Amino acid sequence: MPHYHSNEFAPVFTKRKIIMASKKKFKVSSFCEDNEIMAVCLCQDGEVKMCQRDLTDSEWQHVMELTARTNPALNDRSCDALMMLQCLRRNSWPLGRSYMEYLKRQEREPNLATLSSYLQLCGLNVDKCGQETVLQLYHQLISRSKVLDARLTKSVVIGLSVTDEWKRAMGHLDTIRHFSFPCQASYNAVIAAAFRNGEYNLGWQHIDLMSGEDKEPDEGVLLEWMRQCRTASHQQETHDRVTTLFQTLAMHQIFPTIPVIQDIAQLYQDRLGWSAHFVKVPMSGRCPACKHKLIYNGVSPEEFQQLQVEFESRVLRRSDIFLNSTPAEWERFQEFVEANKPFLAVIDGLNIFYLRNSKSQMGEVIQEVMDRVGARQEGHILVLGRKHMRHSIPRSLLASKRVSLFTLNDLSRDDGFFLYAALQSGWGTKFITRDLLRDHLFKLELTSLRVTFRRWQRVHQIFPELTKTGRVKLMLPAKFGTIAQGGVEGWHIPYSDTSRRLPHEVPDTWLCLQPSSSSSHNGSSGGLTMTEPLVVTTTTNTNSKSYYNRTSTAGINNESNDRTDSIHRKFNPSIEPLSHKYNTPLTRDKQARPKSYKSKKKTKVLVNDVFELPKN
Amino acid sequence: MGWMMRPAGSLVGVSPLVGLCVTSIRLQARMLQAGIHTLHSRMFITDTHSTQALTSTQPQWHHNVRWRTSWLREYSSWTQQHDIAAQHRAPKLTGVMRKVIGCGPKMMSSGRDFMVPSVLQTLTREESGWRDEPGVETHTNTLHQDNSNHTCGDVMSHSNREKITPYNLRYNSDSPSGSDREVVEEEGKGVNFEALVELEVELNRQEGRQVPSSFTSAQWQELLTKKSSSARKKYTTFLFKNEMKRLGDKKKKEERKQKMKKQWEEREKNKDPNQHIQYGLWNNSIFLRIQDQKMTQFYHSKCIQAMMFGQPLVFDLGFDEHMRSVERQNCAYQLQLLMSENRSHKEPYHLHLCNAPASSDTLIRFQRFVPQILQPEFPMTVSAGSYLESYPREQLVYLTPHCREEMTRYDHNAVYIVGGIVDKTCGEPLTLAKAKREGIHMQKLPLDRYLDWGSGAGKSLTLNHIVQILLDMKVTGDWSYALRHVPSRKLRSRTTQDEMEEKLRRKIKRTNTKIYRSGM
Repeated sequence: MPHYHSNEFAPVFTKRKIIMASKKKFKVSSFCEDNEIMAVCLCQDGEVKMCQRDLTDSEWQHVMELTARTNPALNDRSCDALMMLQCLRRNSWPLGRSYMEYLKRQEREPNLATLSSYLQLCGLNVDKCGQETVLQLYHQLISRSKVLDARLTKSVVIGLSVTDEWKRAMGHLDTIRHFSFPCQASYNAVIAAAFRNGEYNLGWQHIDLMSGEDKEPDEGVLLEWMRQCRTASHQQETHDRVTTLFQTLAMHQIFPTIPVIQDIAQLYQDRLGWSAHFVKVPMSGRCPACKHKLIYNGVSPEEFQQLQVEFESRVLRRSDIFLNSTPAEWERFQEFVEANKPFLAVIDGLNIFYLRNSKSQMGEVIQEVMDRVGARQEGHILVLGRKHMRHSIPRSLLASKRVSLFTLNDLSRDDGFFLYAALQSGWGTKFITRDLLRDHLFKLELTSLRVTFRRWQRVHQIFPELTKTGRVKLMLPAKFGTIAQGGVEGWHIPYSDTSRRLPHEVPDTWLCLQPSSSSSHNGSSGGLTMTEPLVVTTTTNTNSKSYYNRTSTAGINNESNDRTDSIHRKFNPSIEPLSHKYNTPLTRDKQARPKSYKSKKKTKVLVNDVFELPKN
Repeated sequence: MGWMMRPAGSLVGVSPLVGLCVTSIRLQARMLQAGIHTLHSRMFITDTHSTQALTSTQPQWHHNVRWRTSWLREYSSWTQQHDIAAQHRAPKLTGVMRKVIGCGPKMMSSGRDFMVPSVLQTLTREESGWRDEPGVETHTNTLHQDNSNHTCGDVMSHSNREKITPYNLRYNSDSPSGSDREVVEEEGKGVNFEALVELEVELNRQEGRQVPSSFTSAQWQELLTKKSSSARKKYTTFLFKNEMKRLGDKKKKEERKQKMKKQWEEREKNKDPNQHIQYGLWNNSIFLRIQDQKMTQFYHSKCIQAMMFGQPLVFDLGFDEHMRSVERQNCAYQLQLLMSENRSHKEPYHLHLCNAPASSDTLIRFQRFVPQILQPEFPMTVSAGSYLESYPREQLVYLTPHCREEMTRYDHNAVYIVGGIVDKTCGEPLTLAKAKREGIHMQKLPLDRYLDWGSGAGKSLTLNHIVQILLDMKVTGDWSYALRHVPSRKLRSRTTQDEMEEKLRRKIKRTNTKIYRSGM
């Protein structure tokens, strides 16, 4: 067994050799996932690095032989493209170049797939290979194939966007758009190129386009834009450019990653002289750093109106009203809503009914809603149910004029109806259900409508929760929207920390930016503000405790008890407050539910098994 | 055979028009332009004597048996009088058929029988979606064709179809490719979608992905219908696996053949030359061999009897647009299975496929499995129109799993409708909506009442299982017997004696603890 030092090259490592090497105190942190063998170099710091020098013919043949042992797809025809794909996957340009030279020595012409992979590889490593190589490869590829499919377009776009001829990439992107949606990587390459070359409008247009296709610009694009912000001549111009970025972040609900948000904070601190704080905003919506109350500005009246109109045709009526209801019933319901709106809240009766499968809770929930939502406001509550549950609501409640009941046929599906009522009733009408409404979201189809719907849902859905004692508790929605907001007086930007989020969840980590004059007297506001972004991976018990202690010792004296409580809950997951639960880990409840259901079922069946019932 | 009994079939509409049909195909093209899409012989109308029959596309089916036979006699005499069909050769009828139809051999052998003109037959074959045998030719370029596959224009241009050179020659690294194709690359408007797919397939091949060695025209068509590249990739992988399986099967078959040959030779060698009669397997036997054909004839005669006197079972094929192509393929496969299961049952149903015009994709796929279904003598009814035209509304019962009412009793007078859907992805209550709209009575099978369902598996059943259940229900009236067709993997396994005792013991222990605690 030879001895490997860092940067020393060993031609070929098999997995076995690497394992042996790792046993001899070489740590291998990331070995090829697909169990393929490649020319790699082991370093002492425990990283697998690609070889930096050219391989000889015999070495390449050896590599191929070894790869063919593990990969059955490798044959005479596919070997070139597969080897190049491996180089691309590991982003090793020297190896790719070495392979191309090997091909030349073998007097073999690289096929289309190989060329395209190599072009992409060169595009990613343009600082090493130079623009001329990329352009030459591009022209070679174009002369070989008049049509470009999605994959070729991707590599051509990534290659071209780093050269001076980057505008041709736009043309290719438009061509492929006739057949399929361009991929995220090519969008990112083109947008970064547009920003780099000063064509700002073109870049922002493409960001709008990709957001319409449910794609997000990546870190590289945002960092490129921040670089442009720094190059601006005036302070005002810098400010304008960053504001454009913030507006886009708000519009498309993009949460920047930590490098980007650090860059933003640094820019504000260095160039504009603002103060920047990384904070966690509690459910009350008051920023701990500047005491500014976050607002809700996610949905414009036009957007909401569009949602009201589109919801009916896309989700409820769809292609066939008979799928959900009947025309007569639908008309009756529409008339009812028109006559009785606006409602204070709409209750998804069937959902509540099956919360515990008992009749008493319906009255309980309605009473709770009356107490918590209806105490301050006038208006009545709509309960939507099916005919069979008419008798499960206490008469005393129905007799009061604040509750109205609408029952549907037993064959109708009710969830579209209560959402329709809540939407038609106008902005501000809350609705009560445990449903996460993902299927309705899917049926809306358009991304803009989906965004509007999610934002509306986030501030209007009241989530009922069954406590251990069997009581129903309501979790009220957040009072602010998690989108970038602010203006001249300061900015609040939500960003995503490294913790995992589910698609419907939003982060609670924010960057608070304040002009220096206002920030000075808010500088010492407890342990919640930080100059570095929070990187919370797992909140262990000790961690949460220390947070708690810090907040309590910092002594936010001017805050009410409620406030401390919420902070306390925020960082101590064992207590699990209602509001916190609603804000983020909805899925946890979702997962827990079927379990209990199953166990219930099991016990029920058990009795049957023991006392075997005669089969008819 | 069958056309004798189905007045709604081809003969009626055809015979007054025989002359016209024979004279020109163009006329038919014109007819199609005028809005008659279903130019299948079956799709003609009962109104025999008027040419107005042509303008209507809705066939009318009469299930009144007595009316049918009487009509047959009438019609026969009409053709005799007018001597229209006499110029064509009459088809031969088997004895079974004559008996079933109930008319004596005299009438049939009068030499004045009628049949579908041969031109029309070939046309209907084309028109009803008949395709070339898969695996025979490489894919043909159909992009330049009209979208309407079922026009006569298509039939005319069939022979002129442009053959494409195999794509792998095209993208050879030596030759500058694509010169034979006119592709305008600028702005992407002129880019040929087919060329794009070809390129994609070739790139997949170069990167060692699973791609079949060649495509048949049907497969290529199917590939072109896929919208996304991942769907195309999935489909090519599927084809590749099929190809490999076929190759493996072929190899196995060859091996088996060799083995059998060896055995045969050995047996021949060991034969006793002195005995000229040898009993046993592969040797002489006292039993007559029953050929498959005879079996089919027997089964079909039962089906024909069911068509005349039995209970109809309707399959509603009007859900094509709600299914993906895989689901339509599965649906066609299940139709094939249920057809064979139905005919081999001792009391089969009269199978009636409704809402199935010749352009229906499921029907076309079904036809690939059973090419004869649209032929008039095949014992199954296919109609483009709705079941409401064929049966009184009060008699109809739509079987849909989404309704509330359970089917407790089997009604021998009802016409049950089964929705021809395979819904692997879309869980919409399509049949419920349809029955609600049309005001048809709905019922569902009492699956929960009689079966102990396991967790995980859905309660959806295939079409052939439903037919098997209904067939057994019709004969026995016993649900627990009929529901034996539900696959056992969907049900909870039966607990054994030991398990039951163990559970009982645990339960007793728990109760005892409870009592003990409460006592404390």
